[in-house]
Amino acid sequence: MLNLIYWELFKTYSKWRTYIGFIAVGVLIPVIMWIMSYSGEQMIQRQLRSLQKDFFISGNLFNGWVIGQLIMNGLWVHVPALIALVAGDQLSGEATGGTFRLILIRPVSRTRILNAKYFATLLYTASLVLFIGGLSLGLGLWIFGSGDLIAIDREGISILPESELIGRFFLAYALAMWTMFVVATLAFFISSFVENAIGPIITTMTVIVIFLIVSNLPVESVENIKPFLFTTQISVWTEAFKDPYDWSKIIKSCAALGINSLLFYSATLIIFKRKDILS
Amino acid sequence: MKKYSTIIVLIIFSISLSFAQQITAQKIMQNLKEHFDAINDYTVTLDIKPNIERFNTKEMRLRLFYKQPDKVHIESKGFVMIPRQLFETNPSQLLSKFDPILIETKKDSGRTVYVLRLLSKPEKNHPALENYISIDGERWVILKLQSIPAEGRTIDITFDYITVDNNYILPSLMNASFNFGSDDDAIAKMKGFKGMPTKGTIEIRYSDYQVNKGLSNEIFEQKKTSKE
Repeated sequence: MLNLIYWELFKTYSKWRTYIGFIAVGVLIPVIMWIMSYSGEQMIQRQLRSLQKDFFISGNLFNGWVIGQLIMNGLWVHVPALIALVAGDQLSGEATGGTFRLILIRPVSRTRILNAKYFATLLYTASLVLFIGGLSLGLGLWIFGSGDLIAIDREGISILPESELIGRFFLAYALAMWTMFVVATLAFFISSFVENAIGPIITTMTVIVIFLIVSNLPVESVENIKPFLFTTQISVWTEAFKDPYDWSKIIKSCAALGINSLLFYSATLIIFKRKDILS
Repeated sequence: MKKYSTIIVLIIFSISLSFAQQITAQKIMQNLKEHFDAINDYTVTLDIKPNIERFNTKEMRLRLFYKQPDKVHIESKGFVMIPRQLFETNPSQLLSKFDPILIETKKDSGRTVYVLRLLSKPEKNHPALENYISIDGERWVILKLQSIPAEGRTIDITFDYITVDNNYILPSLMNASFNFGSDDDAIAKMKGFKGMPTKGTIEIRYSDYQVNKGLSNEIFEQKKTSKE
């Protein structure tokens, strides 16, 4: 099995499209940092303006942790596209290249081949999330320094002490990774239907956009559907910046996301095992 | 003879009483200033415990450096938030910025307490500010400050004191409660944001005073965190 995974990883990381995500993020994050270095502090000041009328506020509130959180907030709409770019190519790419027949005549079960491909997809997803985290925090802390994190959400303002932030960001990226696994599994699932990688990428993004719209509709008739849509839980990573942690919400969201991944993967397995290879 | 001496004592007593009653708001502020002027500089550690709605933060600790007449510098490892009124209890500043009016003289725990209304001196493009302060007429320190920075907004601050180096009476505890009315950011509320913090209390404990140690001016110039 390890050998299979090794070769799937080798194939994945041999394609230049795998690096599109890393290059895009590698260019975008420094650009965001550059823009932030000019106007980021004003943004924090604006958020705290009403408090500053009556309170003297001190401390480095515009720091690398704040930048890291801002980048997470901004990128989670675009990162699924980068993940679908690779995950959507895992099965359809073999069909496009006409290599399915070649790999499936080997004395290895289809399930093991699919598992190896899926594992390679998840590893790519994890590596992209870790790259985003490492680059945004590493560069952010280097340029803007460290300090406490000001987290503003609908409930109000939280000031999270610097000493807690490594743990909180670790949890945030772990949750983000878990969310992106669902996106990867969805693209992987769609790629089992088709023989062209473009289809899974576009379809995955279409499904995400439709689900996101439904998840954010303030209409009572869709309230019962919302918990089943993975997009409702897509921002679970923000729970890492709540004080105290709402573990029951985190566990529920993770379970819902896990079930989504499991369903998509099970469906892929069924389709792949019954698939007629005609190319 | 005894009758005359009793009358003389009564006359002297009534004269001194009438002088005591004639103390003016300016004189009270001047006494407050003179007492405070004995302190040329000090450093103190502040432990701040906020309890503010929709504002979640841990206890904060900072080192505050003060030098006459109005130099303040703060050193902290992280985020700190202090009511601005804390910096506006300097008697020199109060005298220069406000017109005091004595509105009440009362006894509290056997001490004479003067209640003054401070109305800000007219300044172009600055709305009038109104403060009420209670001053201990024996120790010449501010016991209570009520600030009304704008209509519907109030900050109440009370102070407890300790004697430092057997000579200087300085705050040991400050309790501030504030109510800034409602946050009227309608756009933010439409997005589901419950609004900025508007009500709460802040408790500040003072410790580790170092008084009149001759603080250098450089301390107040070195960092952006200083508030002058």
